[in-house]
Amino acid sequence: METLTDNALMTRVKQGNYDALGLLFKRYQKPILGFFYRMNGNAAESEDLVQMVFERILRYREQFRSEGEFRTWLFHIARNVQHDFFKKQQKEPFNKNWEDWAAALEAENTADGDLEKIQDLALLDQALKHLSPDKREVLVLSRFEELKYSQIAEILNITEANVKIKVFRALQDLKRIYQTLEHGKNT
Amino acid sequence: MEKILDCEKAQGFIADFWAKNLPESQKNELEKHLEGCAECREAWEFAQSIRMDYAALPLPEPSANLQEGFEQILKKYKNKNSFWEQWATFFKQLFTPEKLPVWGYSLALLAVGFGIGYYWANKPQKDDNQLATLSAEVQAMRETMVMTLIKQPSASKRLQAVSLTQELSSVDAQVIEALFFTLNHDENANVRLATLETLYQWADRPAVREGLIKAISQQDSPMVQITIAEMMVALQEKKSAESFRKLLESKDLDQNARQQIEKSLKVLL
Ligand SMILES: [Zn+2]
Repeated sequence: METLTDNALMTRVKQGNYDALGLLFKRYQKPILGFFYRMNGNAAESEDLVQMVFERILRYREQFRSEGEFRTWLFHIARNVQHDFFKKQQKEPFNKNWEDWAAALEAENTADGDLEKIQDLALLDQALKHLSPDKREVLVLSRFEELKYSQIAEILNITEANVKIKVFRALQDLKRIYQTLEHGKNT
Repeated sequence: MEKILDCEKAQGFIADFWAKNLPESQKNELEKHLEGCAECREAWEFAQSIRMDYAALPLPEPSANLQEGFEQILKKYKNKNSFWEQWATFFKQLFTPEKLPVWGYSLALLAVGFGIGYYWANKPQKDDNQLATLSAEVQAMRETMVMTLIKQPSASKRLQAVSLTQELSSVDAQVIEALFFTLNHDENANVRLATLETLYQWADRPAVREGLIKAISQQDSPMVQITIAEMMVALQEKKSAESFRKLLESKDLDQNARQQIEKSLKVLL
């Protein structure tokens, strides 16, 4: 059987066939949940935000343009939900300071083989969480959600060249944070 | 100057590498640049050192709550959709035969109501006229304030003038003209930007639209150029394409503005 494209399903939703959204939810609940989780580190909160995204899809269904790509539109909404959430909370997520993380990592440091790789990843994970939200966002969208820079440009409403500049600056910050954490781990 | 341009390109390549999208040929080009540039080299070495299998880090699985919450939202919307159907049933119930006497009574009351309303509506409208005069005076006063403030040497006064125009219930040609003069000649980019945003509110007027298109060639601030480009896309104003193309020919055009304009042109054509 032929599977329906995202756009075909969303067009049905637009026409009032709300059940078609169920299939889109199945397809995208995990990637969107992943995006929120990488952005705020809280699984329960992230689930609430996923629900808000799908509620907004229903509310703004008329604004979906079938020439556009559903996935880009979806992440555009998710990004706005995340943005509003930060604003409402009036707080930066992951508020722990670097020394805490360094200490936590040190406590786990019973180095042996595979563990080292896991620690490298965990270190990167922590470093990423200390980035400012707008920098973390471009790195998460590009690497983990595997969106192209042209798509991210559309999602953030900026030029592709600007996305690349943001990614580069984010990498520079990430490096600084990563090395501070690493230093803490090794001493 | 040349070095800066090279860095920008190199940094774009490093960004491409992060997205796993850097072709081998460009990698060689990048490495040549890195020999002479410590800043880019450090970032490159870091990008290479971090693990590419980061996505292997576990993510939470969606819980049963998530699915349930989604179904609730869906149900809510389906109910909303049947809202009009519910009204239809409600009206059908109202017009059953046993309710007819009630309706006769209601209609009689309604007729009396219309009669009273008609009398009041045709009374001499002295009060209304007074109100109209008053609001015209307020309007005229505001316009005078705008026209005075917009000529002040202080940028904050001029900004105040621009925001005051938003409170005018209608704007006449004189105010629009003053705003365009500010948009095209004010030395302060913030004032010009605010003016631009104010004018955009009246973009459905042909004169305003034409003025905005004309302004494209007069602006030198990248922020203003970028904003006009975005507005023209939002308005789907194809007539602006010619002015943008001319602007692109200028060598002094800012790099970011150039990108936005090129992007906008693609959408407009
Ligand atoms: Zn460089």
